[in-house]
Amino acid sequence: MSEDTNGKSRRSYLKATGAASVAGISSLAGCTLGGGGGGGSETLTIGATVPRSGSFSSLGQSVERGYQLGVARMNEQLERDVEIVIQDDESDAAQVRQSLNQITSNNDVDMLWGSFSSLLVTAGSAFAENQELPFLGAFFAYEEPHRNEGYEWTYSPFPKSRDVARSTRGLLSLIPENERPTNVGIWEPNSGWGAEQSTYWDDVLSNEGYDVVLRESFQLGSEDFSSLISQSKSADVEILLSVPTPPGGITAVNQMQENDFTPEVLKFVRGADPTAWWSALGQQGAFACMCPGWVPGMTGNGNDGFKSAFESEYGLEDGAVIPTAVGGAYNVAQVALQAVQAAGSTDSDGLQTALRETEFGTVIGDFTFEENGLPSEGQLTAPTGQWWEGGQHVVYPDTQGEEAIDFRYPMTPWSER
Amino acid sequence: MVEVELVAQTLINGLLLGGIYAVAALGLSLVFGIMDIVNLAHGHMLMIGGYVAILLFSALGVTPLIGMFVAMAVLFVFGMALQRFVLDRIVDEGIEQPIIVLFGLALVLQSLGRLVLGSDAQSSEIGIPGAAIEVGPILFSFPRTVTFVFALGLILGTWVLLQYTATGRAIRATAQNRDAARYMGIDTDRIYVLTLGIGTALAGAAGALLSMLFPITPFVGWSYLLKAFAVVVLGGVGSIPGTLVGGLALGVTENISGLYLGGGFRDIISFSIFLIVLLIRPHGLFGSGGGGE
Amino acid sequence: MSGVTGNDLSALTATRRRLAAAVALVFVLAVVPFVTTDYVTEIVFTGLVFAMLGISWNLLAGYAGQVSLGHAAFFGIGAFVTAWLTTPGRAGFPEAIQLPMIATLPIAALAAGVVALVVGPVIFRLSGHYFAIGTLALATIIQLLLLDQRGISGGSTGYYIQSALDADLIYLIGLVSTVGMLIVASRVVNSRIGLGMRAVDGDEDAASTLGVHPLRYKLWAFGISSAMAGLAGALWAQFTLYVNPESTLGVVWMIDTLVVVILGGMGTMLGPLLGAALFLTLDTGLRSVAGEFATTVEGALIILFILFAPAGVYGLLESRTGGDDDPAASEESPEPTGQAK
Repeated sequence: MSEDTNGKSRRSYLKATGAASVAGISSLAGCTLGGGGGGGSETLTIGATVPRSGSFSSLGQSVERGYQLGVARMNEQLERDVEIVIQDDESDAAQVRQSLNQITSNNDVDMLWGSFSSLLVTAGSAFAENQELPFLGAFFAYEEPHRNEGYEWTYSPFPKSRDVARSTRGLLSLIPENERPTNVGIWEPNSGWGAEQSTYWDDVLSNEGYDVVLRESFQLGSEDFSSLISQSKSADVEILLSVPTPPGGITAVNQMQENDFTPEVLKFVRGADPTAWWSALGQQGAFACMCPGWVPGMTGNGNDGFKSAFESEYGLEDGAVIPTAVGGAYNVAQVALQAVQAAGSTDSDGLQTALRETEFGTVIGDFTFEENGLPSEGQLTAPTGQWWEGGQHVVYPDTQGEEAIDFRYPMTPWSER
Repeated sequence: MVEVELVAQTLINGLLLGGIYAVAALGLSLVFGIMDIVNLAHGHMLMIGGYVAILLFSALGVTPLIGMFVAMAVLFVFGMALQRFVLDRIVDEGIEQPIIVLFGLALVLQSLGRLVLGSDAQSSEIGIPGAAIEVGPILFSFPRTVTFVFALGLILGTWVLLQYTATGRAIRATAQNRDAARYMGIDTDRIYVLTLGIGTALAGAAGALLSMLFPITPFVGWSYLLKAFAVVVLGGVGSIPGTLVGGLALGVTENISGLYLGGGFRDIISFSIFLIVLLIRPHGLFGSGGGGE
Repeated sequence: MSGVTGNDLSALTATRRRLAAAVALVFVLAVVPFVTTDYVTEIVFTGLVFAMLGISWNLLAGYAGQVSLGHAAFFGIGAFVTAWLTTPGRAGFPEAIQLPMIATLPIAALAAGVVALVVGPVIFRLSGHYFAIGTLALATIIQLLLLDQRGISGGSTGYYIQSALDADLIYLIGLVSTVGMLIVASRVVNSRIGLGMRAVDGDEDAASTLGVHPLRYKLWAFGISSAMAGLAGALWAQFTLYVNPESTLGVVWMIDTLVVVILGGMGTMLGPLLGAALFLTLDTGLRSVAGEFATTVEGALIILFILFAPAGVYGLLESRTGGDDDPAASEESPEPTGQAK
């Protein structure tokens, strides 16, 4: 093995590569060392991810705005500074974890806030449990993780599947008995929460005397609802309930229109939440109901302050209402605020105790937490909203808020709109 | 509606959809049959066609039925450029390179789509007034029926092009025997450029039609590629009637299996059938054997 | 596309100095978790996973000439097997099968390899384009099946893994695995099996007339390559503590693998390493600067490299250093005939 004259350059290339990687790594290492973990420091630092892109991006902006408004309020109310570091999770669970890892690596984080939907919130909470940081997650109606994961740090100030079913029952009871439809159809997505919510609906409404005539599953992300629609027509479904993704919900309505199927009541939890619902469907989107945690028309517990803060920060046209996700996110900040006030500090254990023991009052209602992070049963208002004239308005329960409207029933057939 | 009517409705929906699947597959089949290239970016070109139609519809209110022609024009030029400047250089170097290059192209198109139009699902609407047609208990949804008619038109048009025009004859000659075609004075390089252009234009047309029925995201490319390939394999490479039958078969199979096995199995069944036919009879049920492997 | 050059690591171990440089590099990588943040460790670990994917896919496509587009499925199988064996309760499996994480890694690799050997004889009835698309379809089917079986896979919500082990430890295991994989791949390529593989890649018909049974060597390549991918998947799952049929078996992994191998140099041993390092730097750098443009650039690079630099960065480096002192190259010894069985 003789070295030819070019052996030297080869060697120097390898050396250079080695040196470059060392340099590269050490430059990356220039930031603070050590992992996350709140230390009860002066500034309250919050880490969060929101879906600025991906399948939940239509709500990302609203969630982010809610968080920002909430943090502003916290800064007003607390003596210490509050800052929030937000990154895009691209609606991807693995990215949630990676982004939170990055945030906690580079900042001294005291608390983590969740993203939108059970998929992304459970990803965030898994990370928080691992890091032993308090975690608040809204837009998360799935109960099973609370019961089975042994949550110690996760708290979810948001209506859960049982509350949603309760709210649906209440919504239907608004219809006078002689006009009330009885046939319930459930389109069940093939997911953990899909199954849980469908079962609650099935049980609660059957007990109430309704007839569940259809309960069919579909793949989340599938685009062809024509089979489900044909089956629903065949079974004479009058009350259609489902939890599709926002894009799925829009597609489903488009296809219902093409296939001339109009139920009398339509409730698409999560699917009908974003403003994209109206911008994509226009009048075709009217009458649809949803249960997004907070709906314009709720009163008390800082709703007025929230509304004026939104108006001054982002502006609100005459007759327009605030998107529902902003309220849900703002409520998270309120919980954080009240927990910090109760604890008197930002250290993890103090916050954990405060979260378990405090009675909270936010724009979505009054409630306490169970130890596994669920809001105590029966306490949350869980309002149902309805799309009407470009905005979402609370229809159940009957509130005194000026944005509240009467429940519009039955749905006008597509062709007549 | 009784069970029988439900099945009939599902069947009709499947057939109507199958027409578009056939158009989606036609471009892939032609390119594979004539040029021996599997365009792995085919699904993504379909996506681009869909996006062109969506953009025209949302910005100018132009019905995608017209937007389809614009999409075809755009993708025709794109396909020709692709052959002329990229594939021509590597097509004789073995099969690995075109596979990888086209895979890379798919990636580029996917990310461009994401950049320009976001990751949100987008769709268009038919944009012209019309109501569903009811034949007894069966409902023919208006958009599905119109797109089916357009799909048939495109397939017929392609067939006429290949059978009766000079260019078409030249293409078929090149497919049969490239060297012999050259000896006959046919500029085979130019033929290849045209063929890829036609293939991608058809993909774009399918995308425009599909955008009226289903939402398009930047990520639909892969599943439409597999579906198109399934149709090609079912119907036989390079055979136009075969592709039509294959498309209809796929549409019906998808819908019927979705009805009986639940939504999750729809795609599993389609791809499994595809894989099985690929293994047993790679030249398709109607195999004209237009291309090698 | 496998060249005679770069078939083994002898270029690297040719001199003591080079060997020292290689060892130094490994040492630098090993201390990453202890001198940098969790986030940086994660990035470097991702690079190691890319390297493993690249090495394994390169074995099948670069040396045995079988361009498979279904690599992500084996990555995912390994990931799920280790998830099931460390956290069986979530899938409804009996707690009795729970194993310590270390033990699950070889089992996961084995499982992936076995699946490959089972589907191999069927899928290798196809070749060329058909094989490529066939593997893509197969991978999609596996992904869809897992997605559908929500009970065992967690469906679209995914499957969380309980682990008491420190991420840093898993990082180190990953580093050891990468180095080990490189050595194993190098040994395989230079063994009889490797010769058989390369013969099949060169000319299948000619090889079979010489008594080299094509299917056998394709299966070897497929099995080993898939087992390696399974190991990479298992390590990834244990590091991130989460698997999900949509993301863990997603085609994104296939794309990343392709970028790593093409950029680095297909059919060479060091190519995937260079490609992984390059891709990692590119991806992280681009993402912080241009966000979404990152994938566009990566796709464009694949195309440009195939067109203008098909031997990848490794090839570019080689031509710049003007030939090499790799003994295999300088001797250009012909393949031994009639002896590989």
